[in-house]
Amino acid sequence: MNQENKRKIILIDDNAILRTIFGYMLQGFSDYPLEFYPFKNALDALDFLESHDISTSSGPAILFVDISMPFMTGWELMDVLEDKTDFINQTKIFIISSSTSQSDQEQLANYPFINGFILKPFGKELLYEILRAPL
Amino acid sequence: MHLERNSLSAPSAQTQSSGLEGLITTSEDGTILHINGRACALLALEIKDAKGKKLHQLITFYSSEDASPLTAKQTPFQIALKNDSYDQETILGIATGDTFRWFVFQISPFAKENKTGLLVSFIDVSKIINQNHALKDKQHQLQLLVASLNDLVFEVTDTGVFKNYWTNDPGLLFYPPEEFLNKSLTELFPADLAIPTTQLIQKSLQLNREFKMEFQSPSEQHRDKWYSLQIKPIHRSQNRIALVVSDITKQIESTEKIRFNEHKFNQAFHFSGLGIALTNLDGYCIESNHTLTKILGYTQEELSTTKFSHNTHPDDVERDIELREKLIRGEIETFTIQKRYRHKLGHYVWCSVTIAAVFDNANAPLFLIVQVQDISESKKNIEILKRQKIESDLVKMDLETKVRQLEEFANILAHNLKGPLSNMPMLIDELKVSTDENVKADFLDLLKISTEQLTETLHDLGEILELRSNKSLVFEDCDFLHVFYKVKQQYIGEIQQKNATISVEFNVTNIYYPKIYLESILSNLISNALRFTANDKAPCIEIKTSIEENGTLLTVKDNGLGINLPKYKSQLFMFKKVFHRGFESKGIGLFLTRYQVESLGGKIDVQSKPNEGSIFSVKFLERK
Repeated sequence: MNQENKRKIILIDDNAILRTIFGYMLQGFSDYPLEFYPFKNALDALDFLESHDISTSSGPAILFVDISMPFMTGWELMDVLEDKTDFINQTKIFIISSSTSQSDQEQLANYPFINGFILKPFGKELLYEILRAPL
Repeated sequence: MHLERNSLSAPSAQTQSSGLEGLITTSEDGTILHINGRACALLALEIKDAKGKKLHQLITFYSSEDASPLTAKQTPFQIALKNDSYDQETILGIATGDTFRWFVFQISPFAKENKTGLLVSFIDVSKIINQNHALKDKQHQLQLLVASLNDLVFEVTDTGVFKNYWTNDPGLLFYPPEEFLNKSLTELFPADLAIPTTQLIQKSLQLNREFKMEFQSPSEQHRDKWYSLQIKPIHRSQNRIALVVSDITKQIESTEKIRFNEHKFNQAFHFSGLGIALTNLDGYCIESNHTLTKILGYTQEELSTTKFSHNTHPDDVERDIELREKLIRGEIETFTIQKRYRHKLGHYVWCSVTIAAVFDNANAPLFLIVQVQDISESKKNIEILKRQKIESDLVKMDLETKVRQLEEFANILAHNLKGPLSNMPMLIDELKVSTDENVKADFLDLLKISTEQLTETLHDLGEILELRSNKSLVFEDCDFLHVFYKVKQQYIGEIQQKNATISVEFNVTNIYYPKIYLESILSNLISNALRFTANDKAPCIEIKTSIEENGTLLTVKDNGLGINLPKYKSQLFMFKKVFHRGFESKGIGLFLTRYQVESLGGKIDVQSKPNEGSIFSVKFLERK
């Protein structure tokens, strides 16, 4: 299968275990072909995004972004992406965090282009729901 | 002085040589016919010169009124001839040398041998006229004197009968003159005034001495009026005295006012809650009150022999003297300073001292009024308040730090505990449903790792929490150099490997601090400096101590990677934050260091730029 046609799923989280579990979860999803790109920090992810075309025919790429990370927090990454209108338009962005703090909920309102907030821990049903959502 | 001259029918001037009279006969035109010897003597003429001449040609006559020279026409002789107004008596003067002589002239007509003329007879009245003039002068002077008096002057007999009075203003008299003249004091005034006055009059006459008394107006309407009464024996008089009455109401009032003011001042001075002293210009105490004795412990006698500066704290003397001099020079009206006096018992008393100078009419300083308020109590309270403020500021700082730390703990809880913890139910869920044994094994491994991570995080947190209860900390005298050598030993491998140089400059050599903290702080800073180094240059680390305002400053400067401060400063000293990709770092070092420093009231800060190195500075709050 042409790589270009696989939907790109990007996870940015500094926790290695979560990245592993997330990968296992995606393996169980068989509706359509996926391509999984895990990153342990936002800087590495940005490097990747700048050097790869993530547009595909099989639906927009999905970014799952943790908030608390070294070097660049999830919110700082949102600040960077905010200006890249084209990128925002062809991707879906979800925040995944264990934080229930007021300040993080308030931050969410600052970025209207974010598609949703996923509270850790979460089950694969929730993940599949997002993947199955209409384009 | 009237001389019956009409009876003289035929006067013959020549023969009338007897008596004091000068006699002259003149013809109708005034030419002298006869003149007797007396007349010549009086007028200082020679008979031969006089005859045939006219009087006014020979002599200048002067008016008796104002001593002005008369013209011929003004002389009575001429007037008599013209007007037929005879028989008049006129006083005229002539000048002999520099004195006037005065004559009274009697001019009467005569007719003899068909000749008519004037008979002029005159006598010398110089003595009387001069006496008269002198009297007039005296009277004039007396009038002037009386006019200048504000007093009433009476001439009174030894029995107190009013005989005469002089006043500038008759309105001042108690009675109209006709009602009191020739009446006695007892008839006119109440007994309590009349009797003592009469007694004084007699005493004055007996002793020939002046007496004085003061009395209030006997009149009900003028009760507020006061008079002084002087009784003076009159020179060469046996039974008359002069009684001088003066209105002294104003003096009495002002004396009363002065007395009242003095009383007021005395009351204020002696019963004041302030210590008050009058000092001379050198600062010697002239008079002082009881309160001052209470404040300073010295009796008034002791104070009167000491200069105030002797009892002033040496540090306060200069300013005090400077201000006193300004006061004495009149540059300032008053001043207030706070200074310390030495109490008799030796301790110092804080006082608020207000000093004012008193000047005489010529603006020369006379003495100083010093007011002293004991403020040692309030000073002490202020000191206590200040100390309490410092203490509460410290507590506040401490509390603020603790609150911030609590917030951070909440944060740590959210990100560093909840995160790893949230993995575990996810792993367990997968384990439950998975049928693949390999996957299950993998997940169990992950679960184990998660547990280990969590344990480690909890351990780190525990370490930090330990710092918060610093009861077990032992403060001791730490030698920076010793501590540095010990820490350096730990990193000897890295130092050699990276070819690092570390220089030290301990301007402050020792600090009273928990040694384990100091080692930990220095260790962390050196460790960071050695770890985040640039590839292209050998690490160069400079460690310094210096004395700062209320504490010691430790700085650790490196030439390493540096930190993008605008971006990371807020997170730099936070839990598990790492800022350099590609280095083994738990991100707990600076957090721990900050906790150690802050838990003892210190502060940690950093200056840095990416690729230019960093300077970490630790300000120690020393508690001695």
